[in-house]
Amino acid sequence: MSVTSGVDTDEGKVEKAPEQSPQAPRRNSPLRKGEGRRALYLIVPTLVLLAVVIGYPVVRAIIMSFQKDPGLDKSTGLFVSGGNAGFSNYTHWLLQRCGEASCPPGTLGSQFWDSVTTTFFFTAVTVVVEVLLGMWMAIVMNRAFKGRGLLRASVLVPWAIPTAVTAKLWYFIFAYDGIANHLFGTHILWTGDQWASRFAVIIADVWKTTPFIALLILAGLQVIPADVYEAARVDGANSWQRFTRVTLPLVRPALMVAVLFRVLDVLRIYDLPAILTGGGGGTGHATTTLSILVVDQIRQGFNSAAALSTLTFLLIFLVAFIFVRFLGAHVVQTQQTQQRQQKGTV
Amino acid sequence: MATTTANIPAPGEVPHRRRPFDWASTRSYVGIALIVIFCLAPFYWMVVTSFKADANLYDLSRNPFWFSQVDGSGRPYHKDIIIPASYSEGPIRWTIGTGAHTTRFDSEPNPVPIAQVGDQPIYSPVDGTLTQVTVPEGQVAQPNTVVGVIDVTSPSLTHYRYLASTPFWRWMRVSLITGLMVVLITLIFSVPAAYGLARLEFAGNRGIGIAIFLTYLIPSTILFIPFSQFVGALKLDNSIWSLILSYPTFTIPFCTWLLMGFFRSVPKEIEERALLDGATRLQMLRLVVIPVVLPGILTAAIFAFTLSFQEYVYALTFISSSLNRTLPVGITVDMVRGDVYFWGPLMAAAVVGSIPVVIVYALSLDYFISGMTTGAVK
Repeated sequence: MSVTSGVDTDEGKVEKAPEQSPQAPRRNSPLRKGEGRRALYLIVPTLVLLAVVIGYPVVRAIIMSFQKDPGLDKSTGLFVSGGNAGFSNYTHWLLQRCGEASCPPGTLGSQFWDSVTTTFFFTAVTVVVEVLLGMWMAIVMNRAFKGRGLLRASVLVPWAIPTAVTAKLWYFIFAYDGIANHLFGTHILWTGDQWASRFAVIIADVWKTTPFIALLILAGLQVIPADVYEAARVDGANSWQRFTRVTLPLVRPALMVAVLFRVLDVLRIYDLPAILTGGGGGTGHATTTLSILVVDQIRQGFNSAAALSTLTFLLIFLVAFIFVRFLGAHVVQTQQTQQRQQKGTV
Repeated sequence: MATTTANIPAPGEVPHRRRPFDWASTRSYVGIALIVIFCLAPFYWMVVTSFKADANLYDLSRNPFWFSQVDGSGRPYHKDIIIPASYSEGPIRWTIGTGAHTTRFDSEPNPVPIAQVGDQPIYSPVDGTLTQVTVPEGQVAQPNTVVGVIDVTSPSLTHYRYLASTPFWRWMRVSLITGLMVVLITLIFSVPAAYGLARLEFAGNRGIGIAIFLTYLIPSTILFIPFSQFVGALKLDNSIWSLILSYPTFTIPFCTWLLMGFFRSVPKEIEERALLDGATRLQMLRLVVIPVVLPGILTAAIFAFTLSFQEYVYALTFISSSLNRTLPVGITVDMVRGDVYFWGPLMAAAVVGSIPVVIVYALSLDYFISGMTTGAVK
């Protein structure tokens, strides 16, 4: 649920650049003296803390992922107490190998690629629906003058309810004899059928997160100056052209970061599908996401689960990299890059 | 406000595009209505369910969106009072008369019996009104027989009262304490780090900024395997400290990143002016920077609180005693008996459990939105 701000738009910088003082005097400003050392005092405690509570556990998890889980060796039938596993934990997931043979259907090992597909399916569908719906909601909210307070308050409600509770609420709505089937006169097994359970998860997630995306886009819309629209109107742009040529490019940077964070969150989604469909749905793993698979695996062996979560991490990292590198989501911007950009435009 | 001018015809506008009917504002009202319904309908269902008596809750034959006193055939919802099979025969003594109200026994801390069979107490199964007495005062009541009828009251507060007999309020306390502690720890670390990264220049601050963003990418599942071992080794399992110490792993990177945006939105010139005017760096921070970024800090605090209040995976695995659970885990795990969900109490718990975050948002909505606007787009 944690899409958010901190976004710096290129456009914003371009507009701001002329207002700011010329670069030359800043070089000698008092703010620069001994900055490196001071900055270090401020940053080091946090870095040390993060190294201890994140760096070390990650390294440890990666080391664990190369060790054998104690248990019966599936190929020899002998008990192993651990030891170096090489890449066998990784091939277990990637190639679905259990020992020398391929994993039999029904085991967790055989579900890896299914859950990758499920996770990506959830990510693609929810993010597309949420962005389109959120864009529409933001435009309506931006136009609204009467009922604005009501709108803002109601938009925050889905976001304020804890996700786990949301999942339970939708489980109740989607119960076989529940209100959804009653209203639509259907007899769908929302939490049991393969596709119905997937769509139940998507509907619940869209309900929970769209309002928040809408608020983010709204924040972007509200700083677009009115005269930009005025100019477009004078030039004879119709409302669709104004939307695609003015609104969209100007909110794009804010939108990209919102989308990036949403994508990263859905790739790790656990509580919503786990509670709404009991982690299974349909054939038993219709809504099993990667995180659900990891949690299931933890009960069967830490080291293999560590390998699986390392794979999840790599996958998320890859997606984030693609976003930042190719789709232009600016997640980190420092004074230096800002100045570089300003120099380029001034 | 970009569209302030949208409904006013611009000077150059062609006249035939004006419609006599105010189409734009009608469309806008329809849009507002649709959004409000979309956001509030499931929430409304949750609230209305939490006040429905059980008999009403599972019966959708009448208007399901409102309360009903009668079932599909028009009879009042009622519950027979049956003498348990284990009781021995005895004369009945009613402690209440017909027309008197009763409350459900398991929602009361010290339930009062509605009747006595010999010295064995009979409690009311529902909130309602005693409407019929089939075995009058003093007559012998047999086990397994109906001695009276209670008409069910709906709406009723019975589900909310029932929460008191569960550890609900303890879960609430655990969640609130955890949330507040996590906010405190997060701000102590994030505010200086974000300021340092956003404002002060030194070699490698961009690299560190990216590294902090990357830590946000780490899935909590990769951390919780080593964590669960540490937690076990430090004997913190089942303790609220296991959560207070693990939640900052995702709140600190996130809030640091969020705050960097806010600190950058403060024009450097303000700080330089303050320093030139003879303020010390601390005075400058306290008097100039902090007041300007206060909405940002508040936004970060809200996020830290929300993220930890809603966290599920760690809370589910680290806490095994049902007394020390957090609210989301308690509601989803402990409000089930076997396969039977207590939907009434569950929805009541959901309503009450949403209140802290709703209050936080309501109190800080304007700060929050201005904070997001500043951080996000300026």
